[in-house]
Amino acid sequence: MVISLLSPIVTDIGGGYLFFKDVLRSALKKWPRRELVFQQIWMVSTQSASTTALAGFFVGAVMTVQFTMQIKQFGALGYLGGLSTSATIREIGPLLIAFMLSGKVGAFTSAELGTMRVTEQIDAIRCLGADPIQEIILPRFLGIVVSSFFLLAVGLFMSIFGGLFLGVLFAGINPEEYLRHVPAIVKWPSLAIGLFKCFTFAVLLGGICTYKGYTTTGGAVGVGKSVVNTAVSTMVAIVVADWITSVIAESAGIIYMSW
Amino acid sequence: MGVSVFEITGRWLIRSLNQLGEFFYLFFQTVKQLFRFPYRWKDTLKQLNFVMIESAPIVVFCVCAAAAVTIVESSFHMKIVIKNDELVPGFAALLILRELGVVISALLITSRVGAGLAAEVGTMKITEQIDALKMLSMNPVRFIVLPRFIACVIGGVILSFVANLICLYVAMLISEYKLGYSTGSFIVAMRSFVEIKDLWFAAIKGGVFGSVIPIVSCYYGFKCKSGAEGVGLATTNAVVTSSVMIIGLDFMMSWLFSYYY
Amino acid sequence: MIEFINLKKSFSGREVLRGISFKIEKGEIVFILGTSGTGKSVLLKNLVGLLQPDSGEIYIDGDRVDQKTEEEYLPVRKKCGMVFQHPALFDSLTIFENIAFGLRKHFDLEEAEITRRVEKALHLVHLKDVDKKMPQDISYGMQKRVSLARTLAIQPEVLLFDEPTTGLDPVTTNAINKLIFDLSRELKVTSVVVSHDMHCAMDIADRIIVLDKGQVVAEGTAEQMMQSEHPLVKDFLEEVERGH
Repeated sequence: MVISLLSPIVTDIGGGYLFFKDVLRSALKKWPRRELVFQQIWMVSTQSASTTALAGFFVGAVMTVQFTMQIKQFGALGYLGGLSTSATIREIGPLLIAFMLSGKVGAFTSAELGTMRVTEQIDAIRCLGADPIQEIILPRFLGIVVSSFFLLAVGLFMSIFGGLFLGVLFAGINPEEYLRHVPAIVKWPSLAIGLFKCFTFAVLLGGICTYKGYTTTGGAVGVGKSVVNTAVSTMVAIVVADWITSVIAESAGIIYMSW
Repeated sequence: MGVSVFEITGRWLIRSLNQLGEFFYLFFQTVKQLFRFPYRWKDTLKQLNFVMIESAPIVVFCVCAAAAVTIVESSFHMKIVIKNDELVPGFAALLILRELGVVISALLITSRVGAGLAAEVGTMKITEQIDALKMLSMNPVRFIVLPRFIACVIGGVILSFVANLICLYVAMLISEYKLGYSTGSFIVAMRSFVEIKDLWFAAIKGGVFGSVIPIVSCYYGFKCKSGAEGVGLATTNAVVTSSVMIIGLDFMMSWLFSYYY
Repeated sequence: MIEFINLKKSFSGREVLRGISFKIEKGEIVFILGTSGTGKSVLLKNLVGLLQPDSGEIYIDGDRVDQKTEEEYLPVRKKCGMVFQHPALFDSLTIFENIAFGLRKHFDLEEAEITRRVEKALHLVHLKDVDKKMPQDISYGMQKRVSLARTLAIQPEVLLFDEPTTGLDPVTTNAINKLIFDLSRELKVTSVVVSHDMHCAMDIADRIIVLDKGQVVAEGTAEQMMQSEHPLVKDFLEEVERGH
């Protein structure tokens, strides 16, 4: 039971490591054509911008609703803006928005690469004397990392709006009041942690979906399977990374608390 | 420029509403089948095993990791606002029970079960199995959607219940280890923030999310176009649409439930 | 020109090739026949390094090719062009760019020369006015031809066909087979065709090799096949007679 549960995880980690090494080596050897990378960035960003913005807005809104009910008891409604924004930016926001992206960008890319694999397009690239890692994986990986980071940041920004909107609508405090405590609680280290999490998640997202898509086998059924695998393993990796970054941030937090 | 923005938004809105209507249509068709006996119990139980038992380890693992993060983060916030961390248990329990526990489990089930369902139904569609069902005058909704729907709703309720309890337990262990709370004081501090009905609300949310996933996934599965590309697209669409709907519904339900506290 | 010696390959414990040995001479059209799942495609993919054999040796013009690294395979792949079972056209590129892709990788050519070669390749497969279109905008039969043109453009000495006519209607099947025959004679290339179509093998092959359960069970010209006693070969031949 335990072995059957662990063996795919170990295989994935090992295979992923080797794949990542290949990608890095290929990147160091020759940087991909710039227009290929920008094409990817443009495609991923435009495709997912509305989903991310929408998700970010709702996440921020939900957090405000939940906090309002509690904070009212303590008569500390003034802190609502700061607390809700801080909790969203430091933890819930990056986590949930990255979950959304793993469904959108991750699943899409692994489906695309999986289709290229099972219709022998990747073999064709090799036969025509090109390196598939260089030609298709590297631009996608870089494109996804850059644009996911950008999208996550946009999502976080939207979540502040969502929180503000509901603060006005639901808690009935005016915008200035809501925003007044934000700078007091959300200092730049919080923002840095939020963005650092976004970056980590973006790298994980780009790495896992390209790896899973590239290693697809077995026709249309195989493509479906690798999409499911991508979404699930990306989410697990994101949760683990979230935990690790928070622990690191906390130990570093002792230093910046005194500022 | 101004016109084109309105045009794009309008098109998007119409498309979304259209889609929503089709989801509701499939939902009502499924509910209609719910009142016709007998059920296909064997298939339902098999699906329940897939949705609940096989997803449980991964859901529990992720929720526990999230609980650990929540404790760390809440203690950070509490130290800023009230200069000590005596409210951490309440704060963390609030986040876990009302949001994290159920939303994270639902999103995980979406990517595991929802994507799997869309791929499965999509493959059935392109290998003409669904046409074969129709030829045998069997209703595909009854045959395919209903067992998965029942399994996902039951699975959603139970999983969110279990995930929340385990998550709270882990949060308790971690705050004992990190912040030095005894079990009793954790529960006392927790109870000032949350009530037992939070758990019921979470279970309701779990059930609603559980009903969204199979409907959306089967819808995209039925619409699947042929080839590997079609299956990939159906799966992706299923995951994205379910996730967005889950986050949106979560917001609406949170608002609704806030009137009952 | 091409020689396989005792080639073995298995996938997760399942033996697909169990010691295959044969030779292909320069300028021949060789058909490799067998039922589905006997490892015919695997054989071709071993030759150009898309898969690596577990044991055994492969020689092309006396050069051992089965132990090379990805970079070292480059000249092999330039020499042996492969036409896949699926058209395997890159969906994001136009027909022109699809065909030019290999040219840009293998040669250092000027844009005008690339255009000329792409046009020539399209002419060879009897297509015109499609170079600006996208792969999904043309029919499956045309996609197959473009895929062939893409391989021809890099002027390989050996053409490898992986089930070129599977899933095509009889008319297109005939057209593709005629194309294989004409091109092999016209361009004086060696052609290796993996197929389960005994009918066209009898028509155009110089030599036929029959695989069963990962081993060579019969080898020879069309006339020699008629004399064969092997049950699988007889089954294949019966199918041909019924077809007439």
